[in-house]
Amino acid sequence: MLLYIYIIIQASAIIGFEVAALWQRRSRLRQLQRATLSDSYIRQIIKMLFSEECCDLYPAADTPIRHMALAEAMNTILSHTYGTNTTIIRELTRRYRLDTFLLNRIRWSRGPRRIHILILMSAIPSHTATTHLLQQHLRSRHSYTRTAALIALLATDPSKAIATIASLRFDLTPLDIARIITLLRRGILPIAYEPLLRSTNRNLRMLGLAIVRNFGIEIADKQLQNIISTATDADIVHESIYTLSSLGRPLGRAKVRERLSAMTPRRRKQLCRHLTQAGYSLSALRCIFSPHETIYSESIIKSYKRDLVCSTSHNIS
Amino acid sequence: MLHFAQYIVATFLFIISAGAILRALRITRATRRQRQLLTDLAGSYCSLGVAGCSILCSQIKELDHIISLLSTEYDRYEVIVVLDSNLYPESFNQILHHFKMILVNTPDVTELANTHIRSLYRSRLRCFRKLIVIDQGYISLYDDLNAATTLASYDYVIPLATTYTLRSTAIDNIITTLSERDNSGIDLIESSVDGCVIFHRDAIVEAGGFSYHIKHKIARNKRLSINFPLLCINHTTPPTIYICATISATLFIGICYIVFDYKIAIISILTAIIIVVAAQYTARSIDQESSRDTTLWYIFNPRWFFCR
Repeated sequence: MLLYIYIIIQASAIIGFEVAALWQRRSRLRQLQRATLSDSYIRQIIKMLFSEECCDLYPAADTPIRHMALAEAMNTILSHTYGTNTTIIRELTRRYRLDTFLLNRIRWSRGPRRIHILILMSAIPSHTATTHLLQQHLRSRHSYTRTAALIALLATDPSKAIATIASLRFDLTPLDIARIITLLRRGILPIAYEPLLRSTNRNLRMLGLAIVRNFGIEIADKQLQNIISTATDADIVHESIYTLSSLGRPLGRAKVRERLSAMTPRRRKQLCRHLTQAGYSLSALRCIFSPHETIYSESIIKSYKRDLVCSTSHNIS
Repeated sequence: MLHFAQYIVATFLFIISAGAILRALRITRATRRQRQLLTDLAGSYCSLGVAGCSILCSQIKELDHIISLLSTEYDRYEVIVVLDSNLYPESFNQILHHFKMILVNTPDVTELANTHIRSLYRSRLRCFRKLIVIDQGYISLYDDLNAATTLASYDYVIPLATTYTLRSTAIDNIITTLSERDNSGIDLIESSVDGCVIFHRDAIVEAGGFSYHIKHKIARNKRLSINFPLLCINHTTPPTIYICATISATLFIGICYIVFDYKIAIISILTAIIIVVAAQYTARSIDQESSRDTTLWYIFNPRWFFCR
């Protein structure tokens, strides 16, 4: 009996794989079709943005594939432009009921497809009724789903961005912060760095440090020094030191050196390597690290140059 | 006794099929997720923080191979090529000429012993600024990797031998993996698909350099396994492998039929079919096509689900 069960399960697995392979081929064809449609929609929307006049799309987005193609086209345009006039995007969303379509799709999709639709939601102007659904996905066990829902939520309601991030129950990873910075670069989130750096919330502080690093805000030097001196979270101190180094600011002050001496030897070595890569001079590194720790930096800095040996006796002859 | 042995063999074959199926599903799921993530992240790499990696290449002479390693969107990485100019003088000069390399100072002190660097070259061209060429007499692969490690500037190193090529999205995948969780305690990242290993530079130095047993020197709690591929499969499997595999499978099925029962023979045939179909499905999910070579590679690569 057991052997027959094994045979049936194995035969089902083989049939399952073949069906999955057929499904894969079909979905690849659908993806190609959607990509072609999406290209056509991108061209039409760009023409509308230039002429500042909204017209009907051809072909009309009245099937699920065309809806998805239109959503992807809008996402592509908004990802690659800054300060786009969203009136036409809003009109197209209303005309083809794109937000309703995506909300329905989220309910029935799982895994990467759900994450993809959540990302598309961040590009589609939608009404605030979606906020409740997106907040449900913020509590998902899956980290990617949570991040995608966060991005969509921030894009839907940018005025509450800081409150949303402050209320998160999970720590933002560097990947999550990179995606929020992308929204900032697109001009969607009106966030200033100063209140973030002053905040006691870990996520807000990490975001503030990332903004300073990515936008090269040199006037934040004093605030960074304050954070290094007073912060209790080791990750915040670590991130602040790296942010200060990315601005090319001196790290030889007493408070900074005190914090650096509390780091583990491996972290100090990593920082020394990072500062060498960032272009700090040997004398600047010697102010912070011991001579033993700077041996490696010395050899790396030396390897960027070539000594021109000039023998005086040869010159005379 | 024979009846009992029959059940043991059947269960063993069933476990092998289950392992093959789970492996295929796991790899497919991870690959699809990474592909989706990279598409969504396009244009955000500069904001990903300070993680960086150095690609260490030993005796790689082909220009195309080096150019393919240099063409990545992420900027915090470098390629260090170790080549013996006495063994391959023409290839060495070709590389120096093509990438406009200039001779620079060699390091006086190195963190690892057994490095005999003769000379060091860096590129003058902005687009090839991330390339370093080391001229060192070839003794072994490990000596080459040790020499490259002493000059690596980033925290993570990826050793590459001559026969392996990194996929075009490998660096992006590694950096997103490092950025999506707090990986401060990770010393080794290993792909369970193709066996590509990424080490933390300081872990190599603490272990005294690369060696055959380097992985055993890294604690298990400092290892991370990933389920998507990083290397390209570009070897052609010799025909003898097909013949040996077919003959072995046929013999095994024949023995099962003679010793046990037709049911065990059917289970062994179905197990063989599942292994092949799962390998084909994996290859198609990763590369969107499956050839005989890639299918055989996924079958014979000893990275099964329960041997981690």
